[in-house]
Amino acid sequence: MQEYLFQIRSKFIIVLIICLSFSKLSNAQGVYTISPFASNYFDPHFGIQAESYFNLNDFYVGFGIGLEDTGFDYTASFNVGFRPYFKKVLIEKGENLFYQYHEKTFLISIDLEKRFYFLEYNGQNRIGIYTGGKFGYFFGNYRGVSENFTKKFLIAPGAGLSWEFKNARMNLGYLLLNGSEELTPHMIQFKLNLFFNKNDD
Amino acid sequence: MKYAIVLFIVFSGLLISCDKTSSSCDEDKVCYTAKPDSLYIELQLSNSPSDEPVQVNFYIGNSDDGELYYSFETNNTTEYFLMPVNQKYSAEAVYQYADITTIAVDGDRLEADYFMNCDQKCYKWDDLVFDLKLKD
Repeated sequence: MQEYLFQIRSKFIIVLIICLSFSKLSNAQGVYTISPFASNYFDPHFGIQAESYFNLNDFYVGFGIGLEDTGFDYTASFNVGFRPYFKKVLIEKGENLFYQYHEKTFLISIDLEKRFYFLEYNGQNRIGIYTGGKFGYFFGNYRGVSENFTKKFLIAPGAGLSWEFKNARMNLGYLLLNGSEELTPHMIQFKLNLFFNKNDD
Repeated sequence: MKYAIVLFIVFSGLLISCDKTSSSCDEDKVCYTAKPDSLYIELQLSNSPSDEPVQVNFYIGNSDDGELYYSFETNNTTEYFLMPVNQKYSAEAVYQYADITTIAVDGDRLEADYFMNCDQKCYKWDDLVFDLKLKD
């Protein structure tokens, strides 16, 4: 019983320390909590983005251009992503018959993203979460054969943390990319966005 | 606007650095000015997972719609073909283990690549490598 009370007390103290630290940070450095649902105006910008999604077995880079709305906090963009090297993959073509190919893959997609910010500091810098997805066409290129074994339309949902500055944003999160059947679809996504015509004021 | 200028400078720098005709000059660098008619293709193979030798099929063109040039069995882990340049080639290595057959495929275009040195075309005589080793 005494051990149970000790555990409860320890957890309470940890939570209290976190809350007090956060409160202290908010007061000391001008960090404010904001409503993630308060955005209600249209503030469009032209934006470009560079991203990478990867796991222990696979690595992609991607680039995109599109619309950045820092009012309603969403992005709609046209993206091209690709594995920048050939990777050996096994494709089953019959009972006990496997082909090993050198595969390079591409994903051409329309990306949609919505963000919810709950912290703000220095006026224009915000921290929150994002959710969205890639809606596109995934296909492969194989050395030594003319056939293309991987080609399909897919939806790759993702979510994570978003950190927005005055003219840039960084996202870090999870992406579920069901591309190559042999490889794990669970990926880490890192994205950098730049917006070009945001006012200085 | 300032982002556009920065991007322009970065991309311009990349383009210049990738340009084959940029006029760097190193007098000590070995330069083969004769364009090769043929180059070696190196086939890299794994050891056979069974007692049987590995069967290799070499194609002019792709392995699925090209012309079979040579087929043989080997226990070596490297094999070489001297082939004319400016042509696409491919190869298959057939590995048998128990009831399982794995066919490793690789291919590429054989070209006489070059770099510029002291305003001269210097041809590379490197082998083209086909990696037909089984993945781990």
